[in-house]
Amino acid sequence: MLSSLRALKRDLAAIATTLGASRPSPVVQTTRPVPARAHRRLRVASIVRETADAVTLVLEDPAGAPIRFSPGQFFTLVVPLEGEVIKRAYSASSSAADGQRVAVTIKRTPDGRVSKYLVEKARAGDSFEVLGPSGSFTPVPATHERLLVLVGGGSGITPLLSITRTLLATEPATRIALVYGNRAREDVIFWDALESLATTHGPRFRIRHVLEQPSAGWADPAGRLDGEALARELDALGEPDGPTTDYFLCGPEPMMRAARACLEGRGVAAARVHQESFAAAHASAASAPTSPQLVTVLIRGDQKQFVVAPPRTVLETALDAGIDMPFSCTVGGCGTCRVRLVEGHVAMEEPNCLTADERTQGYVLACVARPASPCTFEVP
Amino acid sequence: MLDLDKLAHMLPPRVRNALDAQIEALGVLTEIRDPRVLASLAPSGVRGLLLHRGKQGVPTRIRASHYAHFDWTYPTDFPEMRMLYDRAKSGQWDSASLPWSTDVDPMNPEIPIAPDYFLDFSALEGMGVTLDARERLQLSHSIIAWMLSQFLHGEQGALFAAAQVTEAVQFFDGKLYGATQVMDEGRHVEVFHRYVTEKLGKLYQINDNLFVIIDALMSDGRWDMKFLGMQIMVEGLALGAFGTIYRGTKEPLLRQLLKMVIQDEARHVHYGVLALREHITKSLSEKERCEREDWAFEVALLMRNRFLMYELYEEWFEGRITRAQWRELVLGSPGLREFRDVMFTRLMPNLREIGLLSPRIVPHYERAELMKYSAGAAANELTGEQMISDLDRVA
Repeated sequence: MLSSLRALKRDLAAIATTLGASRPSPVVQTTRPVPARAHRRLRVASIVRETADAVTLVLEDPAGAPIRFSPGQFFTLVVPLEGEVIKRAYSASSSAADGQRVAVTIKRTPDGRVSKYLVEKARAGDSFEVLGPSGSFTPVPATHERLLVLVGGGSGITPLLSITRTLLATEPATRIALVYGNRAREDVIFWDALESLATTHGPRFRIRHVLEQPSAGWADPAGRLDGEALARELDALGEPDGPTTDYFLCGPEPMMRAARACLEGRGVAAARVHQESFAAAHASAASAPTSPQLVTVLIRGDQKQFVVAPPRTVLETALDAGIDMPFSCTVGGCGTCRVRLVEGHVAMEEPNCLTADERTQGYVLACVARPASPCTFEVP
Repeated sequence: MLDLDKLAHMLPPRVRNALDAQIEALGVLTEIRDPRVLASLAPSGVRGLLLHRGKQGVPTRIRASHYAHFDWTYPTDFPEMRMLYDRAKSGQWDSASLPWSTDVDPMNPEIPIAPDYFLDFSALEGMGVTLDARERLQLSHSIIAWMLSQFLHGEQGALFAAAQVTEAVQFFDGKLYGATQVMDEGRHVEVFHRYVTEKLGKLYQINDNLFVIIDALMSDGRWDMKFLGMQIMVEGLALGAFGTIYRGTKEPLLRQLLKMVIQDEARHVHYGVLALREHITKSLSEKERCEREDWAFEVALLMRNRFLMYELYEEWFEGRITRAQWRELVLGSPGLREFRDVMFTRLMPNLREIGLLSPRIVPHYERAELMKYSAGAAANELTGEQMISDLDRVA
């Protein structure tokens, strides 16, 4: 009876408002659209075919907005492929001083679906969702005289070229020496660009190529860029190590391991050796949890709870729940989303950028972590 | 002689519009020829069109009057429905798998969310309203938000109706299938709500005519009327609307979302055709069949003529053009024509298949220029993949 009276009252009010001047707004709710995790859509302005296996995509904002990054940083491309959305990180190879465009260079790898697609199918005019920039493999800007020694292997040259281009253009007191290892001459991704920089900047930029399988007539030393070869090349550069010299390593893990050992043997402080790992995390189906788990996040003195359902990650679910967790690359490459696992077990995509020390201290990366049991995380 | 138009123009615009709305609402009811259909639709028409029950705030209560049909022997009584149930189980998808990280910007002209032909801007200028480029983008944002809001409200109706239908249907295999449809509809509510609120940031009131249809099928106690209303008419309407947006949008998240939803909807209509073909052709008297046939015709007309986006008119153009001008503008837009084409291409063959397109009703459909759509394949002859493939081909 009471509900009927209430309904009648509402009906009469509806008739009155229809005839009167106070009709309610046709819009019942406005919400602030959720920022899509700092994604932006960038358009491929042009494509440069570097080698048979590598292309450079020059990206720009369709609306002309600037693109800012630091040399050595990378961007995460979100690529829809065969019904999946796959994220891959690629380093910028262009100068950060440009401001309007960024070039990322992609080398096709034998099992790389995304790299194969981008190298073979990407066209000018395509556009992609892009995250970033991410990463801390970047020199601290300086005005004093200094030397940067860059050691690269294969496609590891990409961030090193961005560092070279940027610093040669913006830091007149910085000198750069590059030792670059490849299998053969035709595998060298930026041969012409490097030669051109060496010609333009003379003694401020020196380059030493190390080829495993040089063609006939190759005058320089041949062989793999291992510790012995690096020591030989550093000697040949004739640049004594000093407190203003920093080393940046990027390439295959065996090469970087050998380079670290070589530098340690030469007395270089570990703090002056910087490295970038190129191994992108990938899901391991065998260890992926299959059931939803309750997750508690301790953040800034607050406690939040949500359920993570496979195959989602802790970070994806937390962001969807409106929790402002730190993140950047979302592919396990930058460490921005590092959180401490207080309780529970997670399966993480490997490899990722966590160090052995961080693992020992109980840190995990929220962007590639999936809970295998109820978990509690603490955001530093 | 009394000139009603002239008289109406002497009224204040707000009163004139209110009068126009009431006259239009009465027009809907007086156009219904069959008294049984009128008796069935009129209460819903009054609640939706005159009392605006869908816009009175939370909650909206609709009384259900159907019987739940139990069977303690659990028969395997409809193999085709059992097959559809198996297909529905394997066709379940996770809403979280959609690319929600996509950055959707309704104001980005390079990636339009809706095709720009839902309103004829030159015709609008002819009525004295000129919009600059930014205003056009804002209006396009409102249009897509309105449409997706109606999809969302329709999906809420579908969720509850699917639950009712699962209770009421007389085939046990149909009940099992119905459970998957309830899950489907819940997922659709989730994804449309998320898209509307997270990506578009704007939720509109339910359209009065959509409310009438939902109210009618929810409150009708006959299970086959619920099927006819929900599985054939509303799902057919949904397929038309989804297909039109799917064809026209350049926004990748919405396109992927609609692709998944359309494939579910195709199963839903198929279910309706299976259940009703059996029931209408074998169990109903001719008198009862005629009532369903007339009901479907009236609702088809309601769907063809009445989804006129008045909520957008009130937000954007009230006081600048008349309701009648707005009606003329929307009815003449290429987008609405395409919407009708896709909708009736799906709907008419289904009505034929379930036995509601007999020679007695054909002349009425011919007068309404809808018979040209009746020759296509019905839902039981089409898979969701084929529907998507058809839409992709003409996109």
